[in-house]
Amino acid sequence: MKALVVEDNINLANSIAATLSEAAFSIDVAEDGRKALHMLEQGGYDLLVLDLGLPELDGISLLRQLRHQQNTIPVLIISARDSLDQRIHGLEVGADDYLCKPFSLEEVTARARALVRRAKHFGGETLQCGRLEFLPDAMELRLDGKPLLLHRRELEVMEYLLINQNRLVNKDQIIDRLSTADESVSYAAVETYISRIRKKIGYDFGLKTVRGLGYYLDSKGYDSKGYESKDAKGPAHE
Amino acid sequence: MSKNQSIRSRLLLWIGLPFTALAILALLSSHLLLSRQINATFDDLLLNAAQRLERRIYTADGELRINMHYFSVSTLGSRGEGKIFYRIKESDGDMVAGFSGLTAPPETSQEPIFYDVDYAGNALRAVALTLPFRRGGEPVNIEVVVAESKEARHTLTNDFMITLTGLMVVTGLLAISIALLAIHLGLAPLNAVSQALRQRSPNDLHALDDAAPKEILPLIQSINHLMQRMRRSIESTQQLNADVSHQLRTPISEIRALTEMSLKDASQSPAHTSLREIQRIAEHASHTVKQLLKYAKTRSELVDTSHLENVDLIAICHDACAQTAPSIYTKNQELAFDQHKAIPNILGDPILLRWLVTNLIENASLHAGGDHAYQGVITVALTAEEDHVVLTVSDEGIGIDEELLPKLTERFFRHNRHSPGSGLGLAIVEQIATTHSALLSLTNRPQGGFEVTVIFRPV
Repeated sequence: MKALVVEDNINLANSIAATLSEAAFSIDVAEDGRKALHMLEQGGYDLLVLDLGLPELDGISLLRQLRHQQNTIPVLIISARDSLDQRIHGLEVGADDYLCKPFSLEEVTARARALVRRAKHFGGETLQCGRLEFLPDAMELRLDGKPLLLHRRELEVMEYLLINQNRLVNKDQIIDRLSTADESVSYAAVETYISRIRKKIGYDFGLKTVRGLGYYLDSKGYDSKGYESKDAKGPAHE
Repeated sequence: MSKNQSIRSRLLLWIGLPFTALAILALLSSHLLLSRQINATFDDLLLNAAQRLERRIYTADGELRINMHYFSVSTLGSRGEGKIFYRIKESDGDMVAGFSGLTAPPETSQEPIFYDVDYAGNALRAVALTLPFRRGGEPVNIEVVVAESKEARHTLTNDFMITLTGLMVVTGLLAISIALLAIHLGLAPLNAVSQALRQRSPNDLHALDDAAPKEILPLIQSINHLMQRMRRSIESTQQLNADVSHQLRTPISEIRALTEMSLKDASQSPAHTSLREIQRIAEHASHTVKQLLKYAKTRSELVDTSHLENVDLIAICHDACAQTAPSIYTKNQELAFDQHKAIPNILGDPILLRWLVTNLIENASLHAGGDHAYQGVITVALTAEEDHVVLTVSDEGIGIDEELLPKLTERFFRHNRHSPGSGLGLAIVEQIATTHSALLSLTNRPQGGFEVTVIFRPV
């Protein structure tokens, strides 16, 4: 996976680059907006980590130009700008996620992974969580490499939970995901699928029921391949 | 007159005193004029009676006689009440008729003389006439004295005075009522201003409506200038706060990033321990910087309440839970959301309200366990009562000392110095609650744990 880090603060640029490299990204760094736009036009990036306060071409303008060119690359904005309006502005212009300074590098990694996971699963990339592995093309869930026998609906639920691991997923989102024009799914059905999935997987793989809210798939502590860092933090609360 | 005496009583005093004095003066002068007038009228009647009496005198056989046939007491008296006395006597001679004891006038004159006299225990008004008469061709002077008791005059004067005083009193009461009404109406704009000031929240620094009479306009303008100055001063303080926190963001990010990077390489060198400390401090600093900025932005004096919108609290709670869920579950804590009834919308700022809920969840997550890391459920609940919506965020932790409860919303108060909070979380919550005119209460739950309740009024 290839990521472009656009940040004019050398210390931050280097630290982000180093930490994302450890998370299996290959990294390019650009110090200003114009250079970054030029590099992005060459293509081939899976993720853009973008600071908003940049020399030459500011982050928001860069993002706007990018989206104008129909470039759908996932964008994680990093900014010292504080107002929430700024955040909303960034998301409106087409950022996928927003991280407010000061942040921890672990947060950057977790957000970067989640963004790429959500963008990539359409491309058939394998999803992992601890001993579990999901192959979207084959619609197959494996435990320690061995396929589990799950119903199609259960696999769809599982795929959605794996895409959104370390995030709160509510039942409505699952229902939206499962329902088709001819078939709608009820809350009770979702609960049934979840309980069957738990039974078939047979061990506590980190799926929590959140009363009144939905489900939370926690990848922490169930990590066998060093893919998810131990203390993956969720979205900052800005 | 003391400086803080009310304007109403000043006006009442300065209207009431002169008017009372004037009324008394008017009554006294009326009394004087009236009694003089009544006396004159009665004296005329008395003189008239005396002259009529005189005409009844005739001479028979060289003796003076009086024809009392046509003369009666009733024709003499003015009103028939009171007593009439008379005396007819030749000058330096014999009595002709009447009461001889009736005192003669102090002097003699050709003109009628009016004088006061006492007779048989009665205070009388008398008139004395001296007239020339002929008795058998020989001229004699005859003295006629007619006296009348004064009761009639007094009664008439008193009647008039009673009526007049009654009228005065009624007029006076009417005047006082009108004065009171005038004072009330005149002071109404002042009362309106003080009521407007009383009713506004202590944080409302908006200008007062200056549609007011020109007498109190300077007062209102001064108040408005003062409010504006206060607002500006708060704004500049908050702007400084925001600038400082903003400028600290990038350097703190750098410190955090570099420490994190260094910690990855370091073995168990002594520097490692310092790096861990630096990392902890940097994390604390970054949390504080973020909270300070929120604190600056939620000062209720500065939030424009006219921009509040209809807000669905359920959605706000869902968002806040989704935002905080990763850090909660990372710490092996759990989240729950209870809401069983439909919740009416409230008037609010969605961003501030989300901060309120996330701050409460984070507060519970950090402090519910006291000195130990909390491992339990944090419950967010919404209920709708008759005319308000209640948001509660509760935990099942150790609670807090009752005497510390009032201090929790103080800035930088931390009941546990070792916990990583900024000391601003609940102060921010309080500010946001104030902005929304919501009631904030912090309590220990009877079944254990700490609970924060925020009571909103629906739209």
